[in-house]
Amino acid sequence: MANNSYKVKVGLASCGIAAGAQQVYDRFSELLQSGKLTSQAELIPTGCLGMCFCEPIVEVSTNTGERYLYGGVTAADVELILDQHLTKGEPVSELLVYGPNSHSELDSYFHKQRRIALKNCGVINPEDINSYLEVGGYQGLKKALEIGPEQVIAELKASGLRGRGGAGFPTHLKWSLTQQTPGELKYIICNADEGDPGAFMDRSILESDPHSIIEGMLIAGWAIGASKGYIYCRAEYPLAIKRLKIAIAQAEAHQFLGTGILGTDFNFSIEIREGAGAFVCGEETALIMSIEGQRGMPRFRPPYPSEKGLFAVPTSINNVETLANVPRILADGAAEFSKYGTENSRGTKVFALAGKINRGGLVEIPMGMTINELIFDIGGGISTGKPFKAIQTGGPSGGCIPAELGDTPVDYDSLSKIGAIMGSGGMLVMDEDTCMVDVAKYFLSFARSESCGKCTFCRIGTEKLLAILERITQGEGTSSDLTLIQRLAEAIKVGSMCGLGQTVPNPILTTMKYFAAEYQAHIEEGCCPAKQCKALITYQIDPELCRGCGLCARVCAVSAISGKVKEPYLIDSEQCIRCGLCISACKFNAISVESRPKTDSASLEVAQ
Amino acid sequence: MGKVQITINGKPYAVSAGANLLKEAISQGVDIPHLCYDPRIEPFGACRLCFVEADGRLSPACSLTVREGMEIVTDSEQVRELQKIALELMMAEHCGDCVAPCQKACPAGIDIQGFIAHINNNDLISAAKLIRERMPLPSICGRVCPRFCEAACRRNLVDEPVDICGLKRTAGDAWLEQLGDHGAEPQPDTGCRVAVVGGGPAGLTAAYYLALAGHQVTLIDAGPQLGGMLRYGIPDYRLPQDLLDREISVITRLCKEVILGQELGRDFTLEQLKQDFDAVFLGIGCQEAQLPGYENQDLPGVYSGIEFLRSVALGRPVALGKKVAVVGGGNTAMDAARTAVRLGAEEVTVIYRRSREEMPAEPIEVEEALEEGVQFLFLTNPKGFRGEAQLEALELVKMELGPPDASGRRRPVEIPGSEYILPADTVILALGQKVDQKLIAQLDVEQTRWGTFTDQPAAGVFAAGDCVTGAATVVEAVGAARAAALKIDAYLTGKPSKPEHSFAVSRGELDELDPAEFAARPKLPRQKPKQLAVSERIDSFTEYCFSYTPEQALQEAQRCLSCGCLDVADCELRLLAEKLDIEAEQFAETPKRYALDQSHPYIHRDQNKCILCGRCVSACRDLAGHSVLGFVSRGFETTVEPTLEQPLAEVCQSCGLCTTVCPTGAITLNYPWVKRGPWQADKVIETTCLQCGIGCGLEVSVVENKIVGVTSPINHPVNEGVLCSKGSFNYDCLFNNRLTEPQIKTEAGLKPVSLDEAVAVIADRLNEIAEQYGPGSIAVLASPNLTNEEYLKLAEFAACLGTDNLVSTDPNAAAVGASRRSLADLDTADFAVVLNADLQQDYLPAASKLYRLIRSGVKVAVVGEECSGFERHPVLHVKLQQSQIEQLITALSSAASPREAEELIAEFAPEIRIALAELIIDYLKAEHPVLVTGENSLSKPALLALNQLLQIGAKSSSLLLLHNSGNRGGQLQAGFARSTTALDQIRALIVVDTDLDVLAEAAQCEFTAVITPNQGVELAAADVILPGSHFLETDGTAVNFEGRVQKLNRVLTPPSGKDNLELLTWLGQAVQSRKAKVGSGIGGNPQAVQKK
Repeated sequence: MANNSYKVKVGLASCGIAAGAQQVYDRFSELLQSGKLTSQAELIPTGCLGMCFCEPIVEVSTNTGERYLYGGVTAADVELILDQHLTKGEPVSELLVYGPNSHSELDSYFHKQRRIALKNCGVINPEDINSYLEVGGYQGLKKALEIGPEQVIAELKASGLRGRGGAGFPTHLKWSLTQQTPGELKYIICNADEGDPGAFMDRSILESDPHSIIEGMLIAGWAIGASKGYIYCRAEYPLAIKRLKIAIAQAEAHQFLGTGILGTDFNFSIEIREGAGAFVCGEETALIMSIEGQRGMPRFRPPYPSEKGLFAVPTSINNVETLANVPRILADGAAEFSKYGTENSRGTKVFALAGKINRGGLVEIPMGMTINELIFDIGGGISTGKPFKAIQTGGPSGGCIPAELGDTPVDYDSLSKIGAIMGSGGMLVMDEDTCMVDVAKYFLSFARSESCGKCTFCRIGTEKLLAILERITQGEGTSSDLTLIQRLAEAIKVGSMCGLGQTVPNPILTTMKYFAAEYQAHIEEGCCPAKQCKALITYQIDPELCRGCGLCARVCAVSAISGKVKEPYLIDSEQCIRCGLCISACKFNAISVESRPKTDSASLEVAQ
Repeated sequence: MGKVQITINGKPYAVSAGANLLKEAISQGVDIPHLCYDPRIEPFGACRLCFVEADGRLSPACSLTVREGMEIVTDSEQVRELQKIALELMMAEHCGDCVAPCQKACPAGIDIQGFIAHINNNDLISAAKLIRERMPLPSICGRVCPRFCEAACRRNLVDEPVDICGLKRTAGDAWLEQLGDHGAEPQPDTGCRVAVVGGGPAGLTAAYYLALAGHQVTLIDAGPQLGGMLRYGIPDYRLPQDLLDREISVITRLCKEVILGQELGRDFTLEQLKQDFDAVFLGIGCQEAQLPGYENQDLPGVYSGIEFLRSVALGRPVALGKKVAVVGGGNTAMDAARTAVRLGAEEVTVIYRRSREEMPAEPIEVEEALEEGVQFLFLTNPKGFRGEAQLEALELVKMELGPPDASGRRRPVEIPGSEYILPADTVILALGQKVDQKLIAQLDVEQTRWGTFTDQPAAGVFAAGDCVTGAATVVEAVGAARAAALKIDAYLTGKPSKPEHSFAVSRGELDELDPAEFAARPKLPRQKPKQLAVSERIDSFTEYCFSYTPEQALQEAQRCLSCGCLDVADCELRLLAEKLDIEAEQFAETPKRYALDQSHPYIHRDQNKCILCGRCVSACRDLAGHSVLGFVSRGFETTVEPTLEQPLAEVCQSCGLCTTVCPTGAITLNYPWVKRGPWQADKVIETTCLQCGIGCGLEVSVVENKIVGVTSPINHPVNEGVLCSKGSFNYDCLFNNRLTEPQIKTEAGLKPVSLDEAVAVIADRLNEIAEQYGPGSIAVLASPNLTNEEYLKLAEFAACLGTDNLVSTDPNAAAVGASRRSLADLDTADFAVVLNADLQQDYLPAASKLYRLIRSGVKVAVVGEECSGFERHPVLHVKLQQSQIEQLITALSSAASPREAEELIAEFAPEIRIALAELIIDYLKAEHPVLVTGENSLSKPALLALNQLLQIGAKSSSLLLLHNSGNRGGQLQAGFARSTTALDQIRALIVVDTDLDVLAEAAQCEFTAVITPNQGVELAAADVILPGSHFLETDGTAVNFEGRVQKLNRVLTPPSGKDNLELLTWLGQAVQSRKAKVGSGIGGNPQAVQKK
């Protein structure tokens, strides 16, 4: 590459494409090819930087190593960047999100993160193996082949890497158990059946850095003595599957996959299996059943997959993020990895920040950082400006953590101590407008339909728990319902066959633990403090504030609002479906949502 | 396998090392609740009931492998809590009716659906028998019952309720007609003496059940005859006295003593009874009229309802005027009014203070009273009576309905100033009855604040009926009196009363159901029993309404929707719910969501009852290899559906295994030949299936000579409970198209004759032919599906004729040997080869064993053009034509090494060669290979080659040569070695067979006699036909393909009353005894049976 040249990277993972990045890329391509540009510029499609909050993202970097990040770029902006930045060397300040000399609010966003698993995401071209090789790709594999399986496992042990899929089982242990089980045939499975609502860590890695997964699987295969690997990826990730296929073909062409890899006697091949969208297939035994062509239903453990897994042979199943860490650990050494994190939770963890957070997207942090640092310093705080109320980690299997526990460090043990789990890394941020009973209901209804239907507790128990919560949000709960929930939830935890069922009650148990008053309010007072449960709220127009413009009545879909122009309007609660259109329409903030305690008999009547 | 020591609930057990804990626990008799486990199938773990504490950790027992020193607790509080919640959750999803709503509504708890099912089967006596288990007065109650059941009948949502009461009455009448008073047999005498005071419904009921239990009952009544209110409170036109007598005599016949005209408190005391008897039952009813105390109530012409009715019943003169007023709105008022009409009153007016809707009388009673000219004054009440020496008029006041009172009915209040006078010369006050207050005061017993007895008023004294509840209905008195009788029985014997099911789920009351669900049901009008016209009935006390004819009863019975669960008696879910005492209502029940699948002729599915234990899915896949049933959808919407969610009938292979493994009523048996009821079978008989040579064990449930269930014991040494569709369902031939009478061929065709005549003709003709052509011209032909005893009897018969021509109807007869190997060889095989046989289709139990072998990792090769039954299994398919198999077998027997094998198969096509080589190598490697084939699967040379293969080498190979006929071994042993091809010299044939293809050849003979169970076109070739028996209709033994001699037991009686053995015995005797007559007989009579 010539001097005075630029690299222009456009983030083309699904999230960027959804925001319009493909058009941006195409426009760059078109303009660059037109020969209009006088300076040298290389256009590179890349993956996800994690900054969902400002997609599409364009990174312009100079040969001197300066990086300029443009956010929210549209195709119409491309010419401007070309003209100003690439031609005149003047960054376009109005689009610039982060640059080499800026001291913006994003400082802490970048400085507090440590990118190991996501190291190459948004940096390399995911469809070009050379791009991966340039950043040290397949060096981990080379190292592994040099030191031999035992040493690989020892290195993993020294790194302290634990499974990033949720349960946090030490990776080296899983590998050595599989290695020690006798058998000619063994398998590695990469679990890419990412199903938690709001979680997209795995997708991002697969789309942005597929070779790291292949390399991770190769190292794992070498370590345990497997010659075949399966990537079980949900079919909802077509781009990930496409890029994986390209990567596998390239790896085969470069003899990283196949027979006699890198001149050794190690043979390894990878096959992709697409899941049909069942959440439970993320559970390892159900996943195995699914690959085997059976209905994705969990089966007993023991025997664990390490003894009797896929097609009844020893199998190690590792999550995408876990595998993405493996090449780095081998290439950079265990010490480099284990210097991050806490005693029992080494390294970093990727989180998908979602919900009411300013900087939604993927972040990777050293474990041990507090929740508050994550939410405020990296996530930029609550997007609505309202008080931070809680986070939900680990999706439907996780727990709700109240803002009061914001100083809890994010690591396996600290989270499980307070009833939550690290999970695969979904983190839903909630502000005070969130009803915690409603949140529990949401996750439960997810579990209800995603249970495989096999075991009694999970299949019927979730349905019945949901029915009780439904009752409570309808204002028809009784205090004995709370006892019943407790009894049922405990039974589901203990009695269910697999991890899905065993963790299903977590959201409800943690919300009941930390937000007991909110449940009480629904049950005893018939009101929803967060003003979300439709059966318990009413919409009202403040006659003082209403100017009688009639806009609310015009937008009301069910004609529940009436009145005379220039006089205060009225909402008929019987008719009102609590859709909120009128609130958005009112220019005078005259419409409010109320949820009054049962003791107020007037509002009770309205609620009913 | 070695043993390890574990403890269960502190007790030591030695169990097989490495075994499944639940399996071991069950086999050692430890009770661990479970629903999804079947010892023949890999544990599935869905039901989550078998939790135990294993070394302090909660785990399902089915997921645990036993370890030395394991400590198991099966009943800790935590375990029970989990089990209860699991069951409560399942119950919430289990939507159905354990018991039909009619039965639930019946105070006597009659199995209504059950007795109606019997009527559907044209079996009124079984119906009456079933009714009598709960109701000893079916004919009586069938005439007077207010029909609580019919109000609950689901058919109300279709058209009209089933006439349950009419059917009950019809069944009761049929019993009285056919059995008289001899229908019920008591248990052996217990020596306990019980006094039953009161001969009304309560006393009669208590007496009946106590006497049946073997106690000595003394029945005492104050009246001149038994019956109480039945006799003295209900007029004859509703309940004729002679019927009463007949039904009561069923009960009195069982009593030690009946004492009439003796009244408690007047003629004897309770203390005396307590001294003289071991227990006392009081059922003295409510004999005193409730009289509010009107002004001038003592005037002549004022009667109480019961006083009036009793006088009429006793034939005492009643001074009845022309204008009769009846006060009251209950059934007694209707009885009084209608009796007055029949006694000739000119004007009968019923006065009732509420409106017609509130009348407690049966609507039909009111309607019929109106038809008979009775007038009604509603919202009217008497204030007093007018008259000097005799009643002349009533002072009435009009009423209006105010707010509801305690009973929920609106309280009538007087309208001031609305008083008026109604002239009348008789008034009958039918305002209710109460217990004789003087009597109860005089007895030293516990009583309620309503002045009635408690149900156990003193030590050893029990009470039931109206005297406990206040005036109520017959059916309520019967229900309570039966309960009291059970209590007395427990009290006398010291045994706890047999628990009746305490647990039942219900879909709810009529108004809780969605009528749309019933919309598709065809509307069938309710039958109308024959009834006399009004003009005929109003001046007579004869019964005006008749019982159904049997045809009508059948029609009416067919209207029953069979709401209750057919598997209620052995529903494992229900039994566990009872045992663990769960709260079924803990979680809101899921409403019915799925339509019933009744597409299949034998298997009905009700998904609403399914608890998704998965047993049917596993059985269908793993035991039968059919994989027809599978899980569909996920989460709470998961269901079990047939392949591609088609109707079951379209895809099912009908082995019936799913019906036997389903722990609830979600998959039930249905047979075209019988209507099943929720009743349990009269008897369950073990026998052996002769429909092929496997010799599966059968357990046949029978009700009144009809099969109501066929299953196989899962511990049966041969087939382990696996049956094919023939074994499960192929019994239509027992109930359809049966020969019931002997027939003789005449020029006009076949003509029914008596058995004597038919036997005589056969004997004479055989004797003649023996005489004429020599005994060698006679042959005895038998199918290979008979019992050893039948063969022996046939051989004996042949000997008596002097012939040794014992011929099998099966052309293969002599070619096939018995394999002398056991199906159990497949349990220990390390390699198996299926040779050109469709085991799944023809020998399912053998296929099932192979499926298990494959699951355990043993390799199986399937040789033949098709791979039928193993398409879904990882088998080595060697695609050979039948003609090539001999070559393979030769290769197997001569190859000592893989290299030699290669040479031997060199001429096969290359793609076959690879598979063949693999098969041969595996065979050579195996220590216990098993070869499986069917008797018709291979050519004769191939079979011979096989035999040779097994004789060489030290290898312990097994050959399982499966027979398609039921008793090939027995037939050979009895000497039936010849095949039908050798019939040239034969002039006369005796054929015993179920499958009569052979008769085509019989046409060559001069005389053919056939013993066969079913009609068929082939019979045209026979000269004499005797109705034979089916294998389920005979006792005996048979030899299966393994050489195992198994027992057959007679399950049913053949329709002709005689089985083959009996017929043959008779025939043999006739031949002997008629031999002498032959000389004179020749050329004489038998024109009729001569063919050519």
